[in-house]
Amino acid sequence: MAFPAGGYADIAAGTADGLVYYWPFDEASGATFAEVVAGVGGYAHGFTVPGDTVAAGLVGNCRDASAAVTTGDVSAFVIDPPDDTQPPLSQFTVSLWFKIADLEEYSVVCEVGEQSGDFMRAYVYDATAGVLAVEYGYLYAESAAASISDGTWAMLTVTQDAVNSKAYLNGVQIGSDNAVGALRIAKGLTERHASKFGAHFYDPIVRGVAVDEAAMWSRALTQPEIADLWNAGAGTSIVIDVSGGAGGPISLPLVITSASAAQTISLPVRVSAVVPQTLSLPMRISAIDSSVVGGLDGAAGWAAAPGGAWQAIVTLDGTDISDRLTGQILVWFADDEARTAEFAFLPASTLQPMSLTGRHVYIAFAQGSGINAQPMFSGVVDAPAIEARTGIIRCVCTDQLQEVFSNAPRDWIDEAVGGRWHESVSGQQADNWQYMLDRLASVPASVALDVAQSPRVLPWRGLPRTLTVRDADVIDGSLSIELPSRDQMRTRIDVRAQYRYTRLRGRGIVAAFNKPFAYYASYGGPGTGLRLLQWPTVSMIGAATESLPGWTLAANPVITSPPSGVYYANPPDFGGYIIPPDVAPTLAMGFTAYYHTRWQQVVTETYEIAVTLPALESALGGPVAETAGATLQADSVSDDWSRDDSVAPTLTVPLVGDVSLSWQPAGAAAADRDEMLRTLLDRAWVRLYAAQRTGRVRWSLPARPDIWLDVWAQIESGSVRAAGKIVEGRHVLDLDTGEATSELAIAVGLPGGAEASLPSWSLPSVDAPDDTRPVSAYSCEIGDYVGGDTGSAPFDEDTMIGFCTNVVNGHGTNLYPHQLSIRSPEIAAEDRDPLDLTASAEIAVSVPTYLLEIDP
Amino acid sequence: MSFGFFADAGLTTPLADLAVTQVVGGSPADRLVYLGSATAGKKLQASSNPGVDQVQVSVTDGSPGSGLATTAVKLALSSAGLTSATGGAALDVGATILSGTSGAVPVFIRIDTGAGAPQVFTDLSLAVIDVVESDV
Repeated sequence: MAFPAGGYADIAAGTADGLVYYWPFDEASGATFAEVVAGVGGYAHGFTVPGDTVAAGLVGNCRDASAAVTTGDVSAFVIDPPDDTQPPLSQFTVSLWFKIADLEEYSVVCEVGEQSGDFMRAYVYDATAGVLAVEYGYLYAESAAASISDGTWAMLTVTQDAVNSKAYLNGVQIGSDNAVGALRIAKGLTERHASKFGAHFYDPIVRGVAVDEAAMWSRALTQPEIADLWNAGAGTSIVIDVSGGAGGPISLPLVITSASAAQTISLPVRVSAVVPQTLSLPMRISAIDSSVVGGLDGAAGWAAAPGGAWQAIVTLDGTDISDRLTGQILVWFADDEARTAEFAFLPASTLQPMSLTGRHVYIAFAQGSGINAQPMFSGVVDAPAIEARTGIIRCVCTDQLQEVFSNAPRDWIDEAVGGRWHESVSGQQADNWQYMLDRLASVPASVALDVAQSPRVLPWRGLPRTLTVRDADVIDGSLSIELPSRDQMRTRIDVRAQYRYTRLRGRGIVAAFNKPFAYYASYGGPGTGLRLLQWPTVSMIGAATESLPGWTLAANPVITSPPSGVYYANPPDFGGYIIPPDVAPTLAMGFTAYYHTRWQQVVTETYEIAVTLPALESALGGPVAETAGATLQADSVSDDWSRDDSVAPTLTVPLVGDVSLSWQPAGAAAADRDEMLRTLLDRAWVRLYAAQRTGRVRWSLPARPDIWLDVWAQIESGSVRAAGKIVEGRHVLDLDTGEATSELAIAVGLPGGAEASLPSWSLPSVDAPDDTRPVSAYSCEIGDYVGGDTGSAPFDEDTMIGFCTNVVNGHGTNLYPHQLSIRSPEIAAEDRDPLDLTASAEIAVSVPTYLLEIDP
Repeated sequence: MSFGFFADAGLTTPLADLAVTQVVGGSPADRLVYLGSATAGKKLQASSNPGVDQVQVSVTDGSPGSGLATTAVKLALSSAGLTSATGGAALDVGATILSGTSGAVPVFIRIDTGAGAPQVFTDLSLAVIDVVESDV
């Protein structure tokens, strides 16, 4: 809790603030000073305090004895308790401001308390360095150097709570102790431990101390509260609340600053006066007779296409220009293409042709006298043209298919189109139209905008609207059939995908050379002398094992030294030798050392999957193939990884053996590889499917404006039975005659009428690499070669890798250099070179077939 | 005002009117439009208590008593919601609508003209009444 501004304290019993004594020292004159809470008075005890005067203090007045002080003067501002029986304070705070004119060591700032040694004393410990010391019970604290100085006000605060005693100087804690104690102000004026400010009783050295704002609390103030008292060095008077309530008097200091000049604070306020508005979208709802769209369900057939005259309704930016139209009106539509329209009109007045571009166009066909109007087109003028001779303006219009999809959010595309998309297959697509097409390549569906320019995804089968067309509906001679050519069809898609990543590898090897004692010292049998070899030395092993190119020593080598002792031949008469205790540790019988190394191996998984239509391939007499491919490559790790064990990722290498880690980070993990493959396979299947449905059955009929790409049409002609999705069409209205026709086409493919759906792929997998290696791959070459013996071969440094020694007491020739060399095993090419793993598969699939019967 | 009705989620195609065709006595005609703004950094709020009161899409009738009644039109925030929607009832679309494609609100519309003679109704409009547009 912090004091409020102004130093508020509540002395009512039981309240948290607990102020019990307060000496403001604000008297204007006199030898005594008042305690304003409990009435404990105070005065200059026993004598006149030399130089004691009332002076301007830090806050209000103070008692100042700093003016004329002589060493040896005994004086103090003594506290006089009203009641000797009052209990000691087991928790307390003592705080006062003091100022010493001339610091002298052991000058006492204050001494409070009487409880058999539990008194608090603060004094100048080091006058030169400006150090104040505080003692209370077990607490002893020294301030930092330069904390106090001549003639400068400082604030001392000592607290004791239930656990700790603490000392503060100028609001900063300078020490603490976890001992408990108790304190009360002294009994009487004659007591030795009379509480006082400015003197030590036994050694009354007074060094001109001025005191101000001294107070005691029955609790330990918190550091924020002490900071409030400190008030950044300005001090504060303590406002006393005598109401006994939690509230009480509130002090509100007024700080009045005379400014040099009047100033203005400005806050611009921006007020926008807006008039509530209304958005309005007029609806044009056409209720049409069922006869003009009859037969759509196909079950009962459609007896005949409606005939009669038609008229066009065309608006340009909302203005009806129907009565100025001339010539024909054409509306085209097709899967995955923008709907386009073309019309011509004579402007009513002078017109800037360029102003037409981008203007909204709405076209409807209505029957006879204007009933049964059906929307045909909604879009914008794309390219106006002028016939100079007549002044007729011809407008080619588009429904902005590509623009709409380019602006569509990707999450909308993902949900609406579905399918799969993988960056390694399609590359990064900044354009959402292309992104949509990439997704669509894995879905047996098309896209288009409906007549209101809303995007639609149109599956190739399973359409909700059906239509049966019979001979009577077809304009004579308009029915034609285009079958897929061999070149258009595909019997297989060869998918080739590569997945490349790094294999992080580690290997541990051992370098070991160990011989029995008899190898170095042996005798040939009774009656022979010792045969002695030069021993390997510890230093020799240390030098040889210290550095092995390409390998890191895992730990210091373990060296076995021979035991010291006296060794005799048999019988001893034939000699012996001694290994002294100080020599034995320098010799070795053998050693074992472990090394490890790390390296990176690039792995390329290649998947070759043929997605085939076997029956069609057989029918066509061979494959008609197309290829598709993609590569997914994982980012590699730092080159430093091989050289520095601390570089991530961590790989714990065994003492002897291999370990590997396939580095396949997010985005290039095995799951991403599988998604890439599935994307390719989905696209392959859709491509096969699309290639088989390149046949077209076309026909014309009297205008059916309602027929669009969302219709599955079945042709029931005398010679032809076919069914398929409408994939393109054109509506033509001759404004002069009122005649209107619809030219339509459905997609047909391989005959059969069988359903087939996108397969759920079973992906092939590559074989795991074989990491089995011979033992020699994990051990160093260390031979042993003895020279100076009968039959010793001449030394060959190229082949004699290992420990080379000599018979010390031999008579042979070909002495060898006494040395130790180690050769590490090579890392085989199959471990280090790029690794190619291949999986191949051929997946036979089927695609939907169509009703397509021709009976001439 | 930059806010308006669009034919697509990408807010490419602003709608000047909404043409709907329904076969007399046939299945209701469903349409989907988007309420939004292609201008960056804008928001749309109800003028009565901006940011608190709901912006509402409603159906207004230019000639009550003739033409088509507003009850012929249902509004919902999803296709499934059309089933339980009440004909002619306004649709709450949020207290604040932000511009941009991410803020566009899909409005599903179902029109049922009922039985009757073929004709064209032009008395109904889709409306967002008493709104203010401001910078975000």
